[in-house]
Order: sequence, then C-alpha cells, then structure tokens
Amino acid sequence: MKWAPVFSSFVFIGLVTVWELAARSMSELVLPAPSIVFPLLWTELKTGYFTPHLIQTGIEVIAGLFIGSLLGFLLGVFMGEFPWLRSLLSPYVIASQAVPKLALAPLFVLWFGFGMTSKIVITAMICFFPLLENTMTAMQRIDRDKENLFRVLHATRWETFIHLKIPEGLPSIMSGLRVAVVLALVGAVVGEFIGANKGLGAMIIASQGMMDTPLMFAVLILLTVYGMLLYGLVILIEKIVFAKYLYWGERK
Amino acid sequence: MSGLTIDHISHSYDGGKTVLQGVNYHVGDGEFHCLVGRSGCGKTSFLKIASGLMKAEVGHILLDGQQVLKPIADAGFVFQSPTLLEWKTVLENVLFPIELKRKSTLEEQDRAKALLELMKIEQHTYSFPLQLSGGQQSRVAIARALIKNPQYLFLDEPFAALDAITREELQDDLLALCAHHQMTVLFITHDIAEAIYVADHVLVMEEGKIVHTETIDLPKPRTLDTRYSSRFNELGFVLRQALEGVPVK
Repeated sequence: MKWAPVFSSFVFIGLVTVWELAARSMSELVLPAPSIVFPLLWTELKTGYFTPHLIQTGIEVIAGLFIGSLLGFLLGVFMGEFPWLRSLLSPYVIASQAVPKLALAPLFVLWFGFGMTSKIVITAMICFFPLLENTMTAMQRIDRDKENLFRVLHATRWETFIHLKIPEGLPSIMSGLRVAVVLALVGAVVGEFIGANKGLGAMIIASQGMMDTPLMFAVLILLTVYGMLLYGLVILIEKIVFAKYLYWGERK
Repeated sequence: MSGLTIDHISHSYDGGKTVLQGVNYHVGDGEFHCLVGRSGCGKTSFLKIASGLMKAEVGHILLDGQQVLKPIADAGFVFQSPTLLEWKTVLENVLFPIELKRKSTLEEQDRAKALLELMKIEQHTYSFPLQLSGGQQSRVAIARALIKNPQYLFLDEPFAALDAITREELQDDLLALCAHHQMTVLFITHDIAEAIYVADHVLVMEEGKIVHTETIDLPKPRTLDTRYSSRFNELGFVLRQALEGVPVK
C-alpha cells in the first residue's frame, strides 16, 4: 500500500486531464477548464479576496461543530446511560432528524437573522445527530464481562463511565465526529445560500448571479479542500490526543 | 460458620427458565472447589450469585455468617474472556484494581511485577494486551485478580479458549499461587480432567441442581504423574458417570 499516494496522484492528474479536455468542447459558462479555474483561484487567494469569506465560513463551521457535537455527545451519554430517558426522548430525536434540516434553513434565517448565528444553529443541528447516535450506541455496547469486572471492583457509576465506557466507546464517538465535521461544512454553506453577504456559500450564490462560473468552481475547490483539511484535523487530533484509545487494534 | 455458604438458592431470568433450583453448598476456608457441568446447567449463574455479583431470587449467600448483598470485597474474579483494558499496558491492567480508587504505591507496583514474573510474562510488562497471545492474556487476568491479595478467588472457565499445553501450565501456576496465598477458590470448568487436577472438591451440576459432589483425594502438590495415576482415571470415570446421569456407586 506504500504506492497508494502515487496511484492516487495519477488518478487526480487523470481526472483533471479529462476535465480539461471536456471543457474545451463547451462554453466557459457551462464548464470552465482547470487551466482557467486554478490560476483564478491562485490569484484571488494572493489578493486576499477569499480571506474574509474563508474566515466567516470557518468560524461558522467550527462554532456549529463544537456546539452540535458537544450537545450530541452529552445527550448521547445520558440516553445511553439511562434507559428511561432513551425511551422518553427517542421518538422526538428521531422526529427531529426525520425533518430535512436543510429545509428548515430559511426558518432559522428568519428567526436568527442574516448574521452568523443562523448558520451556526443550522450547522450545530446537523452535527448533533451523528454524535448523539454514535455516543448512545457506544454507551450501550460495552462488553458485559468488563462491566462485571468494574462491579466486582466496586466501581461507582462515574468511575465505570470514565475508566470503561468513554475509553471503550471512543472509536465509535470519534467516527461520529468524523461524519459531523464533513456535514458541518454542508450546514454552513447551505445556511449561507439562504441569506448571507459573507462566506463561501454566499460567494457561490454571488458568482451564480454574476454568471461567473470559473469563480464558482474556484469556491467549490476551496470548499473541498476546506472539508478535507477539517477531516484531516480530526484524524490528527485522534492520532495525537486519543492514539492509545483508538489504535490499540493496530498493535496486533 | 466460617467460609462461604450458599443457602437454598433458586434463580430464574425474568421469570423464564429456572437456572438454579434450591442449591445448598458450603465452601470452607482455603479450599479449592470446582464446578463442572454441561453448557447451560447454571454454573455461571451459581458463580455470579456465590460471589455477590448477582442477587438470587430466592435464598441467600453467607460469608463467615454475614449475608452477602454486593460483590465480595476481598475477592478476585477471572472471567471467561480476559477482560483486559486494551488501552492500558499489562502492568497498568494488573494494577488497575488499585488504581481505580487511588494511586498505587511503589510496593504495590513491585508486587504487580512479581506477580507477572510468577505468571512468567514479565517480559511483557509494558506490552499492550493485543500484543499478547490468548494464554498470556489469561495470565495477566489472573495476576490482576491476585493483585489485592484476595481471600477468595472466583474463576469462570478462564482457560476454556486455550490449547492443552498452555492450560496445563496455567493450572500448575494457579495451584502454586493458591497454595501460596491460602485462597478459597470457586472454579468453573467443563473439563473433568482439569477439575480433578486442580480441585479439593468437585461439584457436578445438572439443570440448576448439584447432582454429585466428589472429594479429590489425590496427593499435593499435583504433578504430571498425578494426571497419569490410576486414581486420577477412577475419579474421572466417576465424574463422567455423574455428568451423564448414571447413578454413582
């Protein structure tokens, strides 16, 4: 597998070549060629044109991800630990997730205004569920013998939670966070589509209005890179902070 | 009365199948008792109730005359699976029963290392559980159960998943440790030969009842010769008959 990055680079070069060839056979308005998009992206990055938009979307994503993930994690812990709470809240949690949250975006803009708050709320709502579901499942799927071991050792509920449930559940919780971080970007951008004057989503809408398709593509590339960087950041945190809880399976 | 008394225990799960029916038994101090029986005969339920890990529907457990209402404090427990915490090193796992409540002392750390040496896995002190074989993991689980120098030891088929040679080695190690620490042991196995080799008394269970008890009068310490003695085979035959429901003479 050590050649995987090399092959992956070849795939990238192949895709860009196909894109370039396809773009030559049609109007720039429909499909701008990479030879137009990448120089534009580079120029606008150098001039700082993208900077405020990148910062705006970044703050929305980080704040929404933090709030949504934290709330999802906490409720997941409580619903995993207390079956009565799970029975009580499950129908409402499922109902809240069955409503397409993106369809609620206009309502949030109406309630919280065109500023950052409405986008943070939408992002938080999207990030909430993966953490809730994964944390709740992790709390419930603890090895029964290990739980008995803690009972034999006269561990309190808190000690069992800290020393067994959290470490044992961490792989599942972190995979929830990895899903949430990608969805967070979707939440922030859709929020900006509905109503914003700053942010990468707002730029896409603006470029559509100006019929500036190369700019739209440049923003799309920025968003892709943004999403990949955020995902990579979560993996980095896993490797640095939680390595001993997550990668013991690889020591085999 | 000193020791562990199982007094008229009956139990069923959620009002369904009865797993224990009016079981009476007494485990004297410093004795090694082995419980054999087919799968589903109630062995694990018996062990869980006897150790205070589970509450019986009917009857009660007495420890030195006092009723047991929660897991016995002065006891070590070895489960069917090693139940090691994979994110902790072998040494941290052995020290865990102490470190759960407070920081371990240097003496306790030395004792953990001595136990690992006794279990012949000192070279893995700083390894992680998944770097060890099944037999080595079982040894760590036994060392962990012994770290607080318990008076009682409860083992639920701890060697079930191991190969024959490793099992025999671990049986010898366990016997040496128990003799050294004068522990009272309740050990579950489905292997008659294992039960005869390690125990002072063997109980045969069937459908939630103790159907036969046998005192093992083999000399101690037990050695390889013990396994091939005629008395060993006689006892094996008797217990086999008891397990198959044939009236034992």
